[in-house]
Amino acid sequence: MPKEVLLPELAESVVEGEILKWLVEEGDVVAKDQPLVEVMTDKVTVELPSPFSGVLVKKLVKEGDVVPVETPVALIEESAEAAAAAPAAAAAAAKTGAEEEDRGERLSLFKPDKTETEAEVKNPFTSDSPRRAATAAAERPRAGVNKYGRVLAVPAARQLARELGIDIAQVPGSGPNGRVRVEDVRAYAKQGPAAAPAAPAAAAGFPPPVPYVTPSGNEDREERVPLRGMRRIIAQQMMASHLHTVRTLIVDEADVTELVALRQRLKVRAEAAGVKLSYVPFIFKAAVEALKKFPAVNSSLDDARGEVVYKKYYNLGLSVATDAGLVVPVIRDVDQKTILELAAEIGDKVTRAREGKLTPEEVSGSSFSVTSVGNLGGLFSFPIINVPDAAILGVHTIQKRPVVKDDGIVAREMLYLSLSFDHRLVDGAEATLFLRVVIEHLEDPYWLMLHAV
Amino acid sequence: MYDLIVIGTGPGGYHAAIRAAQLGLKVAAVEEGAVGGVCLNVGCIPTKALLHAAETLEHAEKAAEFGLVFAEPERDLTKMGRWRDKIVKKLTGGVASLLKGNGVELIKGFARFTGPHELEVDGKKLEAGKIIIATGSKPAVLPGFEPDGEHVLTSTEMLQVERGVPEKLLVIGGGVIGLEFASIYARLGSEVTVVEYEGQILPGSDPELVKLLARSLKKQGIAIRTATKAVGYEEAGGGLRVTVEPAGGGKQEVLEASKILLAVGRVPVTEALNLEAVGIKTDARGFVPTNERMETNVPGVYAIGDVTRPPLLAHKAMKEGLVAAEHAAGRPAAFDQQIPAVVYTQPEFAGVGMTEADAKERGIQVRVGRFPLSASGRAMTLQQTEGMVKVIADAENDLLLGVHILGPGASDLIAEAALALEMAATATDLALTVHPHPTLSENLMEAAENLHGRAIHILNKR
Repeated sequence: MPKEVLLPELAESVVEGEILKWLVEEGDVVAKDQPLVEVMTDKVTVELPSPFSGVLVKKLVKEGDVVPVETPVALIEESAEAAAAAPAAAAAAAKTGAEEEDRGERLSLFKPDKTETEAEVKNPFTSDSPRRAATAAAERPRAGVNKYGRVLAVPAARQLARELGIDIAQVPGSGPNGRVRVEDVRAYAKQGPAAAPAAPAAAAGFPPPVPYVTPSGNEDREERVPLRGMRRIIAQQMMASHLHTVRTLIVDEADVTELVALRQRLKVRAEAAGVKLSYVPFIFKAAVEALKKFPAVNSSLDDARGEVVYKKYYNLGLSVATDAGLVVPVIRDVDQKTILELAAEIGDKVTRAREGKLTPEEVSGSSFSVTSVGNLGGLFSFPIINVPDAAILGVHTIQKRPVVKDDGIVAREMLYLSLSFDHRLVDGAEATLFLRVVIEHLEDPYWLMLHAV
Repeated sequence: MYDLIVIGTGPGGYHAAIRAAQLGLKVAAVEEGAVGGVCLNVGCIPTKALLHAAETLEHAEKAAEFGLVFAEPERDLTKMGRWRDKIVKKLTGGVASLLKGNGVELIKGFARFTGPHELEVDGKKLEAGKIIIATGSKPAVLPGFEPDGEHVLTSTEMLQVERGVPEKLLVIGGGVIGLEFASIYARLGSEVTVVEYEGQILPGSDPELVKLLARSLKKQGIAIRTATKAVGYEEAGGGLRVTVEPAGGGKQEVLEASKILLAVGRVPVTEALNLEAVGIKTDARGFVPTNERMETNVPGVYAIGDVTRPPLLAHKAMKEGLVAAEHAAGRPAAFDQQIPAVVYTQPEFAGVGMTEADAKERGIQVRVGRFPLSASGRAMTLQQTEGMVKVIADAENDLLLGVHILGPGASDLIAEAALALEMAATATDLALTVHPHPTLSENLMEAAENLHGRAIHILNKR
């Protein structure tokens, strides 16, 4: 009996993964721990190693499928024996095939071939596509998983779904016996997958997203790319943050002239120690001091239980722009690390983020985040909160600006800081004072040093 | 350099080529033999021509019942053959001009792969962005009965009716091809015996209707031996002595025949295409597996029709051809439809969707509606009252699962059932739809009514 390969829980709180790329083909002999398939979860790509050796009998999921953890993704006929037996089995099958040919009844013109396993399409009533098998395992309420092995949908609805890139099995049917009609596909396309099943948003008077229609005459002047992988995850995260936080902005500025001088001086020594010293470790440290004073900024809302979760740890996320998109590596226990240690760790994680080599653990579990929009330009930004955090600190370009000091105008190294906070968790006064504390520590880095571990 | 090359111009191939051209691709079609493939040249079309000719004999005979007595017909088999050829020629010519009119370049020759996007046709290299394999199938061979053009014939040779009508025809294989030729030659005067290895003719089809069909065929003088294996034959005194035995083994028997028709199914044509060279997978029986978009395991290479998988049906190939062409042109397309099947016996046999056995296998409780043609006014006026319509629905929700028809016009009537299945109709939908009277189509409605115990023209058993 072939064994199922389940999608493991790739990291804590990871509930699903997107199948990016199969690395082996059906019929291939695979060794234990040989990578089978590339799976993307929460912005990280991992290669799923084979849990046992044998022959990959069947892929149960397709590239592009998003499958929950514990879903069978492949069938493997285990053991070296099986591997050795595979060619023999194939030969045996060939032999049976020959006999059947001889008798002819297997090749009846009339009867769809039931022994066919490789081909997906036969009489659709008597075939289950691998995708459907996979979703059955996922135990999602889907129209496609029924005793008929076939979605009940009219042909025009099937074609419309194909044209819109919608899996017809996902569309709730409103016809008799749940038959999917053309209108159902249209409605589903408008509402989007998340809203469609229960449509709570629509019920609450939430307008559906504006559907995109190509302006006529421009059909050939557009390129359509499937929303896949990282871009899809980013889109989902951003939408979740946008819809489910009460994002509020406060902007302030810091005079970091002394910090610039200090870093300039320490940079050389750090470099000698093999560490590139940026401003980020200082900002992290300043943020931690402020977080300690204002625990609400270091909290999350557990909506399901109606509880606010105050975290006694300071895990800071750092937004990193990579070729593949936005990644947020998390530096754990920032309060317990020295600035030099932080600098080294940040350097390492940023590098690996750009290479796409972070593990799922390394991009999850933040309690607060910092996004550095620094050298790209812009006066200040309104960052989107890295949910479920309560706030995010935007750090901008340090540049000399005229400042009034002792009634005279002087050139100082100035830094704009923007704090996006979830107003459900953090009050305006708290946020303002939080930012003040950050600024105090950045303006007087020697004060910051007194808190150094 | 072409956008698309289609190998083969059978029903699947020419559909693919024309649709791809319609969608703006630069298309070539490679054909080794005659345009139109098996279907047009030596399959669907010429057999239907001969069936019609043979049926006319029967109609003339049966006309005596209503007082029209014809003299014994003269039989000019050469003329019959010419008429058959005329139809074939007209259709293949039509396909050729459709290909041309759509801008498909027709290349004569045998194609073999030299790369995933490259073919060699008689020494000439052709390149294409996408390639569709539509090479079809050929008759399968049974050891001991290798076709020799003299004693053991294939369907292709049996179409040559001008070669004469054998006195005793032994047909090996009770599938579609075997039964259609058995029907033709029985009416032309052969004493026909059909030998089938399985327990019933048309294995896998609704057994109740198959039983009725077998009864009709026997009435027409066709002997049917199911669960029987053809072992071998020898020449003896100008005839043939064919040895058969029970399928499970047992006492051998000798049947006499003047000709043997070998109709034990068909096998895909893939050899010499050099598929291995570009890594295109075939299964143990030589079929080229594809996904629902008709893509093979090699990107850009599609396969359609008989070469992919049973059932080997022209309309399946046609639909697959359209799907492959549309996908190759970058359009969303997939084959996810029901495939109706038809046998041109008399009465005709047609079915779409599940049989009762299929439903049982899936654990579905069914209700079955039946309507015998003996209760149909229209069938009586056509002198064709043998047969039955069966409608199968889910007992739980009335969803239509399958329709099986034995009777005149079944080949046309089944299309309504296919549409009903595609629309996920219920038996009630069929029953509530007004069907014109008097027609054969009413019987479908009546069968659906019977499923609910409400047919008008029969007493409904509850």
